[in-house]
Amino acid sequence: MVFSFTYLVMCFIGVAVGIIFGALPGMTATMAIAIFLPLTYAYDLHTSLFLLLGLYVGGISGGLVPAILVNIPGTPSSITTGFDGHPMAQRGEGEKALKIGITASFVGGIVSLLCLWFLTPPLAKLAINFGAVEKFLVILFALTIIAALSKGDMLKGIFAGFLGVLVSLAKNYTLNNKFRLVPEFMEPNMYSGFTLLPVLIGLFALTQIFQEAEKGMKENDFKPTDISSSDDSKKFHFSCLKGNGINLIRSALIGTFVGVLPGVGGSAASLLSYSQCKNFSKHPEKLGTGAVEGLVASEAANNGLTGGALIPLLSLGIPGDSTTAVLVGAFMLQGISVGPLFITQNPDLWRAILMALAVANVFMFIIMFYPIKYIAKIINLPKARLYPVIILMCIVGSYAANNGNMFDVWTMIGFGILGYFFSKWGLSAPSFLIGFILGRDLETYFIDAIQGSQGSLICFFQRPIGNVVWVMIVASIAFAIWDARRSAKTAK
Amino acid sequence: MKKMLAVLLIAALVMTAVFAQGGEEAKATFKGQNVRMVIGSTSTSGDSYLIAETVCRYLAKELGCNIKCDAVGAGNAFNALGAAKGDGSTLMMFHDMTYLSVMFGSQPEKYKLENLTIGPRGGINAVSCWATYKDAPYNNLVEAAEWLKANPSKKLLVACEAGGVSHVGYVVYWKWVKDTYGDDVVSRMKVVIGGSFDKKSQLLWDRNADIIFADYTSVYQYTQTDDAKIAMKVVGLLDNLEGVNSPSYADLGITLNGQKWSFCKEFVIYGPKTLDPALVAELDAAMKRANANPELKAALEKMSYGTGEYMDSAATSKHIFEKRNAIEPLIKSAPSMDELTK
Amino acid sequence: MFKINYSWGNAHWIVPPIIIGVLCFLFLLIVIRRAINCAKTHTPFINLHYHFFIENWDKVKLIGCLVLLILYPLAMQAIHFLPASIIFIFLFNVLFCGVDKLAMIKQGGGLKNEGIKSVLTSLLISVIASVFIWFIFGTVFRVTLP
Repeated sequence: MVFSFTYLVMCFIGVAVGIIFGALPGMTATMAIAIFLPLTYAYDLHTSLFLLLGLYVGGISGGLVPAILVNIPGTPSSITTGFDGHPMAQRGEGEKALKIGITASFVGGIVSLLCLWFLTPPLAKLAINFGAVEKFLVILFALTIIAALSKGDMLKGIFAGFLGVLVSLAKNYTLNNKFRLVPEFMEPNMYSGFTLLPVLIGLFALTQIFQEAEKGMKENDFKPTDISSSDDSKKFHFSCLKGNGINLIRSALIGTFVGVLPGVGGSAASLLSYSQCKNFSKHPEKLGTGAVEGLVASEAANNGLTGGALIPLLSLGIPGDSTTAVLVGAFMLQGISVGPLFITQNPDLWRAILMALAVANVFMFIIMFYPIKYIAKIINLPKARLYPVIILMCIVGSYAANNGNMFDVWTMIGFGILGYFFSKWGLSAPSFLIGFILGRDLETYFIDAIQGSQGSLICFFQRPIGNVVWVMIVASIAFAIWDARRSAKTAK
Repeated sequence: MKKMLAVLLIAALVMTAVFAQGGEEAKATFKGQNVRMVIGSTSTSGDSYLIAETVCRYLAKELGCNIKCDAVGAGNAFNALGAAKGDGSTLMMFHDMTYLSVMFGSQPEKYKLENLTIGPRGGINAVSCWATYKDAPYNNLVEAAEWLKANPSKKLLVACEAGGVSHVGYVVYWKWVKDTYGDDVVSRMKVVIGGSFDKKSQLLWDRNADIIFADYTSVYQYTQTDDAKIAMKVVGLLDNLEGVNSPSYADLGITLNGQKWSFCKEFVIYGPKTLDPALVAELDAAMKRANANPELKAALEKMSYGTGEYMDSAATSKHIFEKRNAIEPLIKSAPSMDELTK
Repeated sequence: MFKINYSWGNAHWIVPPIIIGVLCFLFLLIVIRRAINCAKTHTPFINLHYHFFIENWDKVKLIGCLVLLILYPLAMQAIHFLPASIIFIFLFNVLFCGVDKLAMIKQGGGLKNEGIKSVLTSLLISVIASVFIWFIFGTVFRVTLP
């Protein structure tokens, strides 16, 4: 493979554009790749790969910026980033939080790249041992994060989560082509249910705008610029990550592994990693209040996804997440089919992919780390001026989520209003959203599993890997309950 | 007063000129337009999008317009077409699911072929096939039926989708087995519902399915690998394909009511009922030139799709109607999925 | 006990009832918990003094925001993306900055007038943001815009 300057330029453009797409609420990495897909036809495959993988890495990473600064996740996989990142920004540590996030993303990306490089065959073998039962249990496991999140009111948190699952099921069920939970007049629009992206930005962005409008758009009493530059604890040093070494690696590996499992959505990566971070933490009560640990776990995991999701794609021809699914199109347009022989038949391409991924991660770090202190100033903009532009972005993003569909805009507005009511009733919007994201996969694999066992539920306890996951699920829930009791006691 | 009159006169002249020109411009043409081509699938890696995107690139050049392919999914595509004006700004390119989905009831009656304008055919995908695991005790669909007959305790689990091309392919096979081998054998064939290729291949690897329906391109590499756990073999093609040795229904003698049967996905441009005939003619002419372009042929063949022989809108319309009318009685007479999955 | 009656025809209606069941159960638990809490603290089960909105809520901004949000997509369908966006982003800006600023315009004083300055800023933001998004996404990246 000739390593040329063009590749570097393309990769740089890809990462930069990807970051913009990731950082704008309503735009995602998947969208960015889909947009550039027809354009790559003009280039050879190597050049396209540098561009597309740059977009992928950039798009996944950019999501942390709005999550931290304005508490609106730029992409579904950065939901958990806002849990700890935003509280940090609110206490004036925006730049520090961003830099921690970027560093964690970089480490996550590199760890997953190493996994892709050296462990592709064994991980792919492991992945195909995950049948419907195991995938169902992994998703159930990811759902237990709701219990861990709903501090204070676990009952309502779980209620919100299951409500999210229910709402996600309101669609035509592909297996037997029947509608459920959908009023008849909405059926043409609800064929595949509510689209995730409009639901996400409705619940996070619009709800927040409604709440602020209710309060009269008053500015924060606290101005992050007030901090004197001498306050060292609010600044970023690489030592901020001290004590997070194991957390970093664990989160990156969880992200990679979720990526390896085809059909388990990418958002599950950061969710699982975040709840595991809480389970292993020495101070679980601090998570959600601006703890470095939580931020690290979320960001290392969602970038860990990148390498992981490429593993089944390149070794089995099966994409690991929705973004890599679009990459299949790029290969196809160039006349290269992916499948179990891809790596042995295209050693050149394989090296190019590894190289592109490495370069993309380095570029991502450079592009984001240094200019971020200027971007962090967004938080200082007056809300009255910032929110209208966010509304514009959200509408464009929702409309573009399915390549131009007005129903998705109404979905976003509807869920914005719903989220506003949730905040009044004390129901957690993140829990609802997590239920919504995982709900469809949960059902699919449940039905697939009982279809295989002719309806018997015993099948869920007969698989060795499955039983291991069961133990983790039970432990995770038990820990959440224990933790909730303990914090309730300390509160008294 | 004279001045006023002069001004009015000039104004009138200008307006006539403007309207006259407007009248000329009103003659419908694609030239310079922005055309939105909606695709009935949301996947940008599936055949629907890849064929549409490739064909439209060449078609746009011939038409002298911009075409943007939007993979919006079947429901949204039909809605967009339903709301579209006849000016050619919104068109749809989609395969046989266009009428199959109405036939199977997943789309409302108002979108049946009679209510659409059928344009020229853009491309074909002939590579749908049935595959099984490499060490299965049969090598093709006929042997599978023989094997069922010889082993009265065995069942054959077949993974396909409800209401799609695979459904049609399965029903034809099912009917043939019933007619040739009788009720006992056919009653031991059971459908397992699987969606995407990765779901279906997982079903195969877990042995929750014995035969799966897939695109030949996705299966090909699995037929070449030595890894026993994931290796596959092709047991039947829906249509013959150049350069592919596996037998098709026709080669195997799997017939529908004694007639040779084959099925190839055809990607056709559809417009709203009100689409201007002048535009259809323009599409026909442009597609004819695009179809003759060896570059387009090469680009599609690289993905193992094809352009097919050129078919103008009238020929396509006749052909698609015939195809639908041949399948309709078969689907109506076949048992429901409820029974096939039992 | 451990068997679910699965058939193809009812596959779409296996999981939803389970979820609805769980939701009912959880709802019941929440109600019971509230009843117990109310009994303990001697507060009435139904709070008659319940306020949905916060005290002194900004009626103009909240309701205005909702109305504009609903009108905006409709306007986009009627007059296309760019003009609709410029108008509505401008209106959102004016609304969020406070409609009372408009009243200040009457005082005159050209660019030094707070109200005029605010309105001009709103106009500037709406035009720049809309044109920028339209150009970058609609033209350069060819995202389908309303």
